[in-house]
Amino acid sequence: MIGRVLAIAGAGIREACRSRLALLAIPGLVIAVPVLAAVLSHDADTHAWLARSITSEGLQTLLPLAAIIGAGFLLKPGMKKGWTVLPSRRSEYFMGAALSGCIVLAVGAALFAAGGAIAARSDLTLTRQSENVSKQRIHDGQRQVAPGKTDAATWANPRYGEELVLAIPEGIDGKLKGTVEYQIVWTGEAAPRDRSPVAVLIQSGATRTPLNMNVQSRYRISFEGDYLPGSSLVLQPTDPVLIVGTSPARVRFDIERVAPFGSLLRLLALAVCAATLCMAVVLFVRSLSTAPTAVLAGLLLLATLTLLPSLAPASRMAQDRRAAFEPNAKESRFVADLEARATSLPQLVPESYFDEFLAARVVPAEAMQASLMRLAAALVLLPLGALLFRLRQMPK
Amino acid sequence: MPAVEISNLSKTFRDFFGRRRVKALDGLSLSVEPGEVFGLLGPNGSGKSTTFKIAVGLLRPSDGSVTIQGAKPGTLSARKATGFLPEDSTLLPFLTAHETLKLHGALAGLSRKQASDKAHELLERMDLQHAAKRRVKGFSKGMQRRLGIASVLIADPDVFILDEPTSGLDPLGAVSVKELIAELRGKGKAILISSHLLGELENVCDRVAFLNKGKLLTQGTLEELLREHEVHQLRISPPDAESIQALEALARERGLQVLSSGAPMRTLEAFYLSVLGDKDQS
Ligand SMILES: Nc1ncnc2c1ncn2[C@@H]1O[C@H](COP(=O)(O)OP(=O)(O)OP(=O)(O)O)[C@@H](O)[C@H]1O
Ligand SMILES: [Mg+2]
Repeated sequence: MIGRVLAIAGAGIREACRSRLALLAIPGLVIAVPVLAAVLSHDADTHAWLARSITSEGLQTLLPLAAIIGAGFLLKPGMKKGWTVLPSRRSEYFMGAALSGCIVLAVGAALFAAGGAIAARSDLTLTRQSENVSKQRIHDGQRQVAPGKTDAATWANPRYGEELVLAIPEGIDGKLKGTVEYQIVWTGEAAPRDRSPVAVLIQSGATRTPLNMNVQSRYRISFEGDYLPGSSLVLQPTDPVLIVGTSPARVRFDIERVAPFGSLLRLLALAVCAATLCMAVVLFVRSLSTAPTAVLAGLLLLATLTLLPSLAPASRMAQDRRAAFEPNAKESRFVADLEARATSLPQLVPESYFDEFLAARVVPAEAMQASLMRLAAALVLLPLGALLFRLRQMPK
Repeated sequence: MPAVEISNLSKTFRDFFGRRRVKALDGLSLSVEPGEVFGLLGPNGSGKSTTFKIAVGLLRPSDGSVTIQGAKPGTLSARKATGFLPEDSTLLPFLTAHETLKLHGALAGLSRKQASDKAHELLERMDLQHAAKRRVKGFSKGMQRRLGIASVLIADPDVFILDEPTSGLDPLGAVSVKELIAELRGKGKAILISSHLLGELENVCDRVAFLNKGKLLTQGTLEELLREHEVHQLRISPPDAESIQALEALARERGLQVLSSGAPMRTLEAFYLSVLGDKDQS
């Protein structure tokens, strides 16, 4: 059985290699990132950013789409095309076609990622997160400290003089560098004032020194300054109408710089496994349906698993806030359940890893685990599709 | 055990809403023994191809059953036992002739070396060795047909199901297919073959069945169906006019009726073969 599946997959790969498109596609995929980044950038910084951004967009968005559309036309369930009259079982043809599709997909993605590696001229930052976030305020000349949450946001309200204290992990010497991502809640009492609602200080004993701060986006700042052993970082809300919150995972300290190849490899694995899952879904539907139906099913899955979970952080924030400030408010269980379900849906291609890469940070090793889970789901779906495909009649 | 057993087979094609549209087969029963060539005859649309598609598991019967050496069509043992040549050539256009045969060989479980050697042998036999490295896409209809036959042969199955194997072939090709079929019969293979060209089947089949609108009209050996027991034909050589007259006179004397007498016409096929044979020698 395996021999026949491999023989059919070999023929399928040959078909792909011999199509006229292959001549263009192979060099095209390799030079895509280097050429685009070179043409569109003016300086080294934009070049580095563009190279990362094009690579990650291609892997995260285009690859699953290509997999869905390609898989729609992968199976040729008619006598005329010659595949189904080969002297093998129908399910063997299904698996062989799926295998050839996966290999073509993986090779294409690898060529594209190789282009990304060629264009990547700067190293990525290895970061470590804060160990804990707590809340402090000065009351009657005394510093009061309240422990914060470990996996959800801890909030500080400037109206009561509250600040967030971020523990600095070990392994840092000399320079302190990193980023903080935060959430804000507007109290609605007046219009917000400042561009950035926070200040970052370093606190050692009773001395507090402001750090150099850079606004990177509405919800992210970077900081830089001298490190004093035994000190901790303070995130101070500066706008009286904006409550600020963050969690340990969102506070990152730079440790060292490393070459980008490992991270690229992880993203490649993740994207290829997610695309394989897309392909498996489309093939599963295609086993008994027409190509357009199968492609539509694939697109629907992609939309669901991309849009719903990425809408969720907003509602997670809203939930956090409601829980923190209106603990007794009655909330519709149905809505809460729905929100929770949307939040807990796994994303098809987990965005957070790509965000790390975009921010010039090392992609964590858990990305591999995430990709294996997607691959496993695909491997469960494919044999089921093969069984269904056996039921299909081939009148023409 | 018969090689192919078809019993009470019916197939109704339905449209999208499940309404019955065409009754392609209606209670067909027949069986083919090993070492026998069975011809299925009938006009266009009589259900020959439908029968074959059910026999190889591409279609499911509405009623009745088919077994190939006792196995259900579509199962691995049935597929291994069967070599199927569809009525339209269905080859993968991007492969070369040699690669096509190697693929079929690999699917039949041959090793790379075996498949490659056998592919060369069959290409020679089907007179395609000059096109071995060309892609199938550019093949003429007859070349595709020859390659199709070769790809059925490479797996060396026990049961051959050939849907109009000679369609598109030139007379020489048709003759070599007929020779091939005779050779396969000699090896004890069962061969189920269809055609609507009657002359085609006449020389090769042991038994034939006539099909019309999905129904079996009659079946039997060629001997049973074709032998004319009321007349006798005598061929003599050389055609000496005096002796012929004497023979005719003798026949009348004995009270027999002379229905025809004269030099017989060759068939166009025989003439074609003799002309092309001369050319090959010169
Ligand atoms: N997929 C299909 N859907 C509907 N009707 C079909 C289908 N395939 C075949 N038929 C019908 O079934 C009948 C038998 O067709 P079949 O192809 O078996 O004929 P055939 O004997 O092989 O004819 P030919 O000599 O032209 O090859 C025909 O009336 C045909 O229209
Ligand atoms: Mg037919």
